[in-house]
Amino acid sequence: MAAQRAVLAASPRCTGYFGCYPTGLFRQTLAGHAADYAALSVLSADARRRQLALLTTPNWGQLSKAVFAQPIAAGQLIYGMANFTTRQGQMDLAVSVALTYVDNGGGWSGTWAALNVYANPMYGAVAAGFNAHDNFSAGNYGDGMVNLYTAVDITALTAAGTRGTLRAGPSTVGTAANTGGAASVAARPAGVADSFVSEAANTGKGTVWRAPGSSGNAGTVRVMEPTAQYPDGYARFYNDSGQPIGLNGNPGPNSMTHIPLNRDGTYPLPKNWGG
Amino acid sequence: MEYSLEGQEVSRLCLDYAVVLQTVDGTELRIESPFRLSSHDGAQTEEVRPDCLDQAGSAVVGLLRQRIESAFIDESGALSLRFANGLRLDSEPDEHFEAWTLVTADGERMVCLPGGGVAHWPGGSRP
Repeated sequence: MAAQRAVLAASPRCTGYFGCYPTGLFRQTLAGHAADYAALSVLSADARRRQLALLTTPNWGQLSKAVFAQPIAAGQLIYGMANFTTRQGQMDLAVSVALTYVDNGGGWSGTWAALNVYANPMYGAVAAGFNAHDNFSAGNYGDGMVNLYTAVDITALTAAGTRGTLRAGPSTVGTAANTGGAASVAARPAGVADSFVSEAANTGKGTVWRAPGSSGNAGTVRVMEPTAQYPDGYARFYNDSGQPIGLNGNPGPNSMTHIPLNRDGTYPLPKNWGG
Repeated sequence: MEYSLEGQEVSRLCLDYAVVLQTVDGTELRIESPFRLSSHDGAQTEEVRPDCLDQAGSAVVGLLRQRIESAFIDESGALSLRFANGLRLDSEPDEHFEAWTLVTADGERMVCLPGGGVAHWPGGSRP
């Protein structure tokens, strides 16, 4: 803890440029988003914690779909806000929040008010990584995820976990959150083998799922975020020869091998796709 | 941005519904949308439709075993390659589909998005 305090205290302070987001308004806005997401969640708090433990890539689109079964666009809104506010400063607040966190011994206190203070992007900007590994290893996934996601994600997710209204969702293909209940939930999209690892674009435009150690297109699934042409996103599946395939399972022209996602983030799988 | 294909030789061409260029170091460029092949002085230009090669196929074959002298990709996703034999390949973003994808041996990946723009996966470590 002493080492953490020293690092935090030495963190750069807000230069004030661009203007800082008023703290009260910021918290209020986050709280609103978090409550909205909580109400939309189809999973139990335990299921969400398991989801968090399984996710391995800091990709909001994937996280949003896996945990909330929501279209990506809504997630991007809150993610963008987090990035904006984090970049723009309020480092003084970040430092003070992080010090409070450290003084309390780490970990979320469990109350909504505390979560809203601790799990804000400013905290994430300064303190991401502190305790994350240990907490993750110990099963405190909410804390562990600080290392992997912006803290605004944690705000929404943890708030949903503590305040969320459970709601049964329809069983559909392709979205991990809708595979029939908490126990069967897996944090990967349909058609992706259990052994596959994910890799998010550093531009935030999509995620590649591939076999560990592989580098080419062969056998991969790539799920892309919405574009003007594909408002819900699209997926591409590659066969063992690295050719994109269509729903008939065969290589084809690009009109057949760009598979649009459904509004709920699900998508059909190519014929005979192993996953 | 400049892309580190310079100096690499096209060691393999694959044709399916795309034109696929593989280089000696394992980089694969898959072009799925129509592109242009031009002579060094621009006097001759072929419009190549990868899904329907017809007579443009012979121009594509001319890329085999050619060294890439320069490679440039801009933010819109426009890709331009110049080859040692003077040929120039230009691929513009496709309004509806991914015009091209590029994957290197160490897993770096770039995709020209439908409507323009580039998605980039840095690659490197391969867990």
